[in-house]
Amino acid sequence: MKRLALAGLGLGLGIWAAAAQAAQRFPPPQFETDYQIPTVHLSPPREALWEALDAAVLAAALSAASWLVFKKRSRRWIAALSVFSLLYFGFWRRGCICSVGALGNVVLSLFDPSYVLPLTAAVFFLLPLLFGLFFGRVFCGAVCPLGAIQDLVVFRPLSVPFWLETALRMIAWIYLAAAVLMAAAGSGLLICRYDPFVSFFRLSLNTPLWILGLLCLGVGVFIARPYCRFVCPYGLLLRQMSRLSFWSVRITPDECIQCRLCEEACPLGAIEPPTAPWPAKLLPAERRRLGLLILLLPLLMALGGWIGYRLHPVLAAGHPAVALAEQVRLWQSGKMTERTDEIRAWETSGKPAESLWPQEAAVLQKFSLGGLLAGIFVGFAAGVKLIQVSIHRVRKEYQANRAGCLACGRCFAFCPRQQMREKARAVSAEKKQVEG
Amino acid sequence: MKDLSESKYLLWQNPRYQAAVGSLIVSAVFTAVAGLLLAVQVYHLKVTDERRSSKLESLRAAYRTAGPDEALAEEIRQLDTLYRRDHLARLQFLRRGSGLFVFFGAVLIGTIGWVRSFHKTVPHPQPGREQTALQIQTARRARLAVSVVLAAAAGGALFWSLRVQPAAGEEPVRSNPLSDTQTAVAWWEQMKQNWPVFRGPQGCGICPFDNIPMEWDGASGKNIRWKVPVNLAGHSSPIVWGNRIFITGADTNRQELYCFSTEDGTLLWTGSVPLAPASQRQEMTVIEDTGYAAPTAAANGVFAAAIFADGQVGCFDFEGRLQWVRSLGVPISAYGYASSLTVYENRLIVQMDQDYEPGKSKLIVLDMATGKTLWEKARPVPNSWTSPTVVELNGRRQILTSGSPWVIAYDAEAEAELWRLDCLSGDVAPTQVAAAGLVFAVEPYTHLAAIRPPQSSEANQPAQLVWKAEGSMPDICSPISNGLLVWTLETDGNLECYDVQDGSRLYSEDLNAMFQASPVLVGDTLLLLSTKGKMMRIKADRVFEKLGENELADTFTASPAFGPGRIYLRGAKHLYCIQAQP
Repeated sequence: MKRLALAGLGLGLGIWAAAAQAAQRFPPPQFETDYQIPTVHLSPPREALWEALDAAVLAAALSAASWLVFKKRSRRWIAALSVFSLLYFGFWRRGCICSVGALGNVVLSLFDPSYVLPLTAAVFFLLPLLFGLFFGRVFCGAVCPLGAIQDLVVFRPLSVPFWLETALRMIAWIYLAAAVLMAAAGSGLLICRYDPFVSFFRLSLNTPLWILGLLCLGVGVFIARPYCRFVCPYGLLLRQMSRLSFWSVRITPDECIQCRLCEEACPLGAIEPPTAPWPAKLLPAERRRLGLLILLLPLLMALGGWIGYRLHPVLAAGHPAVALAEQVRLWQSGKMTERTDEIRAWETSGKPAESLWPQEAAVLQKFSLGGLLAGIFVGFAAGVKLIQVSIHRVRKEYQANRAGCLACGRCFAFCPRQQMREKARAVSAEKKQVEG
Repeated sequence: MKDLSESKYLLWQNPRYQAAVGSLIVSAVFTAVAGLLLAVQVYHLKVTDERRSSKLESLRAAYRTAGPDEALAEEIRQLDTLYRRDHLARLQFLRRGSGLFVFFGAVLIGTIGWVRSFHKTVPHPQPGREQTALQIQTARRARLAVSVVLAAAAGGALFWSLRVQPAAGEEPVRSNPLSDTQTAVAWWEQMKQNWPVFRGPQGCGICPFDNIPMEWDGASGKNIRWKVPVNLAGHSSPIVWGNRIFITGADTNRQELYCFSTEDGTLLWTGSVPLAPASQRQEMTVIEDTGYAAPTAAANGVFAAAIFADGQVGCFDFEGRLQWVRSLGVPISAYGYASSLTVYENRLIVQMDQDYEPGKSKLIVLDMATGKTLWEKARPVPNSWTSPTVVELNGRRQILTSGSPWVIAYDAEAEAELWRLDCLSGDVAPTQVAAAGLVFAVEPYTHLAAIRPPQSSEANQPAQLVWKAEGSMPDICSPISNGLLVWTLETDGNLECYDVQDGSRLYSEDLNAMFQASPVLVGDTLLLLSTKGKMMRIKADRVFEKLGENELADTFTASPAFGPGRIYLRGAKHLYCIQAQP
């Protein structure tokens, strides 16, 4: 617990330090000659062939991951595929486009008719979800570069208590709601902007993101894949797909002997132990609680909606139109004494201040509705979570939680049944070789 | 215990284990060193560069305040180059260092995995707990934790929403002077409340302010609010926008735009406009009466621009940051280039009349923010010394220009010539003025012409010459009109008054002084500033009546500028502010 607290404190300090970083400042060159600055030529976007290749690699990687998890059942090969995905989608593709960030593109395309969703983004968004519907979170386990880089540093994983994990996962729900709201309102792609590992992939010089990424990896040494478990909004979607998936990861290929080795193998706390039926004397009280929680659900949604609505000016503050209007207001009132670049750009644009207020009001209106809906969504998620933890499920053997299991295959390697099967297979192969 | 030590000893004897641990240590050291170096570089980029930037800025400020100092300028240049080179080298280092850091980090992770593979132990699960009780306890805690998160979110929302109060109802004290709606109303009105170009709003020389002092005395200092030196000489006039006065000065080596505070005359900054190449300047003709800084600067509320005798235009923001420089080519001018700049919203208007025969002259309209040419029109005139003015005539904003033989008007909003009239000849220097729906243009030594421009509805109709008044007309000073009368002032002091209706001369009076500054009108008083510093007050009436005069011992060739309750005068080496003292 102490280490958990320290890790949490470290993460918090890191985020604070990242936010406190001042903008890089160096005066632009002052050309005092006739030199004409040449027109900026933007390099053409990646050719269609490359985009098709990316989509094909994604499809192949997902297929391979599914085969490795369900047929081959090999942790070693899953890890190898994970490293390949890190190298290809991470360092080679420079972390863009990734399925996690594609969520923002998809939402933006739904709300902004002028934005045309690139086909690759659509494929990257949909394909892992589709595979999730059939095979669970094979994307998280072996294809996602963000997951892969965290997976490499899981050296001393600690068990996070279920209650803490449940509470921390609320961060992901809030982040998902905020990311969708920001993208829908045109504030920007939040997930891409705060991708903690993109600075590694691109070797860019964004210090706050470097610090954030290093902190995630540092925490990840003790708490396996913290970004995936507590922050990743796309992971939440995959969790829901995985709940409905046709096939789910089985720890053992045969009957479980309840050796509990798998429980120790899983760094993600996704192995659920067998449980007996609920004691009869507790049933009435538990049923009453469940009923109360179901009744509480609309109230939580209303509370969430109220929170979202109240927070809408804060949420909208990052929108360019609102930020500019605020600066112009400060400038006009004389509270801002130094012209910022935004003020200078506004002045040279020739736009009157009066034209900014309706734009700001329109954005704020969008955010008030969006904040309300986002809040209702988060309230609903919290309510469902409360109900979920209050439902007792009977399990006869150790099982991988359908939503929480990332299909990393670590439990395969620990399962004695699996070991026996592999040994038998090896003996049989050897025998065949001798006979041959 | 003994077994454990023995197993450890055996492990240490394993050469593969030794290699793994060695690799781990080496990669850890390399990663740490790379990380440390990166951190140092980031520190330098974030902190040192900012410090250096501040140092450079303070040196620049010192340069602006102290005036030209070639040694200081050279020091600034060298420091700037040094810092910039160092900055770029650090960036390059960071890029490479990031790659190395990631590489060593990857190796470190790999070696940690390798070392750990030697320590793998068979898991020994602890005895299981009673799951039902555990589940009940866990569920209770989970409910509590989710509730705490929700409560924290609600508290945070309440806190933030109470903190963020939309500012409303505050009266703006600034606005965007270039805004579109202000194009129609506000910019024009704002411009009228300043003195943004040569001879003020619409170049008419009429003061828009009240409480202008009518009496002062240089000897006793009466009503002289402040007097400050101007570094370089020039015949250009001051202009005023808000609390800033802009004025130009130049010699053979330097061309500068100065910005002074209206309050106390503090020099806020000096903007330097580079000279045209020496090879081009060699062919430049500049007589002493014109000098290198005869054209008056122009400001639009955001930017101030200046042009000099060598055709170099520089534009600065109000904080003195150079925005752009354009080289329009050294003008071929018999006495030296003298046309002042004028502005209309974000457009900077340059009348580039040059050469001894028509063919090379043009009107150039530049984007004041970028310096890019918005449009230009060839002008069928030779070199002239008049200035363009932007006026509102018949409900249309037009750019008026004069040059032998044409008075030409262009649409201020679009690239179009509106009308022209052939009524001038010779070397034209007095700038046209508009009043009572007419345009008055002076042909030096010969006549004053009153022109009626075509109405907006009369597209493609010619302008009409309403009357032409023969007389001894000025060769430098521009005329002035209050809509009923029009006055001309000759260099040798002959003041003439004409009736706007028919051009009949009402009086001709010798003032016994020399004049180069153009007359200005404050209320119903004409102010005429002689070269020797006498400001004569003449009643603006059909009959000549001298109201008085004030003395200021200096040489004056520039026209006066005004601010609320203040007059700004440029002497040979000083700038004066005159304000009635309580």
